[in-house]
Amino acid sequence: MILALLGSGCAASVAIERPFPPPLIEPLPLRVGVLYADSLANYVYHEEAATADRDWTVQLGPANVRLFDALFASLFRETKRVSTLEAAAQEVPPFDGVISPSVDAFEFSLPGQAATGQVGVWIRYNLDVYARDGQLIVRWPVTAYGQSGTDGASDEESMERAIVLAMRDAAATIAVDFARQPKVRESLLHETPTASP
Amino acid sequence: MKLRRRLPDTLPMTRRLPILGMGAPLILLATGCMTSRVEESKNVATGLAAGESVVILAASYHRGKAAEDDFVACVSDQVRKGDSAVAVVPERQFTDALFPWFEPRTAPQSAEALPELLARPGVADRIEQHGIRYIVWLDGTTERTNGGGSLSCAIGPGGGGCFGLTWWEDDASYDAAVWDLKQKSDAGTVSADVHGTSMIPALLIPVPLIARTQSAACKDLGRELREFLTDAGPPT
Repeated sequence: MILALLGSGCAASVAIERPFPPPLIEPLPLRVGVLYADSLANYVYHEEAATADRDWTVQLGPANVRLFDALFASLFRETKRVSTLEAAAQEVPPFDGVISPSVDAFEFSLPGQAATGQVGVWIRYNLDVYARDGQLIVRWPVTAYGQSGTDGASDEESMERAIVLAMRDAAATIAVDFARQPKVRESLLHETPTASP
Repeated sequence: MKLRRRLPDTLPMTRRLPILGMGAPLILLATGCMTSRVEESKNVATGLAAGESVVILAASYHRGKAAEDDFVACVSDQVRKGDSAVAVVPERQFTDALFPWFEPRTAPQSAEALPELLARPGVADRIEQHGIRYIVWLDGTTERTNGGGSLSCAIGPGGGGCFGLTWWEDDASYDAAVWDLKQKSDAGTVSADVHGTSMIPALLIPVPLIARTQSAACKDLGRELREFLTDAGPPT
């Protein structure tokens, strides 16, 4: 038992419990299928003590789903969860498109490892946008960053704050820039590309 | 433009000790020597009507040295205090209500961007619902600028003790940029700069003399900011 207690002292575990606010934006006139792969909904990041001060485990999956649920519900006129691209293609009335986010990379730095003296978190999401027939329209990589000071908080609390800020950063980028993506404008919003000067 | 300057307030420990009698030194021994400077620059007349409030935010870490979270909380508490207390909307409540427009990456970079932001669907209404008249952006930091000396402690069968002297200097420098949402303009800036020297002399027992520069900067900035916001006088 003592060994187990000593072992737990050498590991840090973070699960993101905070809710995410819905964006204050005008919804796009689109009916969109939302596909969450298991790799997103159950995402867990683990880093061994060899590169960090101790073992770190970050459970991001449920928070990913809450984040994108809040984001997509405001970004699009209507959304519906789908389990596969094939199921989405059978939808009646048809979707305008299907969107599927995934975590491409997760990294962090601890106060002792960075010049800022703060916990820093980087997350890169890939946002795959499909046409209603399942053809990939675009894979949009969204890189997000969050940082948090220690301010007397535990390392786990500072890490959670930095992760939440990084996730909000990703959601903010998608909320503001999704409709500006050239492929999205052309294929989903059916806007005619403007000639560059 | 109004430029009001109050400087420097020097608070040497040695000057304060005799005034407070024999019981006080042990309390004051926890205080080092500090100098503070507070400046205010007002561009437009300010003032708060009934029901109006402010929000105090850390400047974006993408654009410089954002003030620490605990410093933002401290200044917010100071602005809420006193006879001319100001209603302060909590930072998280504001950023959640206005998400995604006040995140570190998306927040407006200058007051000139306010008209465009307020024209976005729902933004002006949401700000009005919260009664927010001013946004205050805090940037700055507390840094160790110098230090030296040595202090060593030893313990043995007959007892223990410490000998030596160690010292360091901290500089707490913060700016508060005030934006007026009603006039969609830059109302001005309040800044506080506190320099302090801390030391721990030890002759058997170490006696810490700590200059709490960040705390002093918070109090100075909070007090001046409260005056800046509530004093309806025109800029001079």
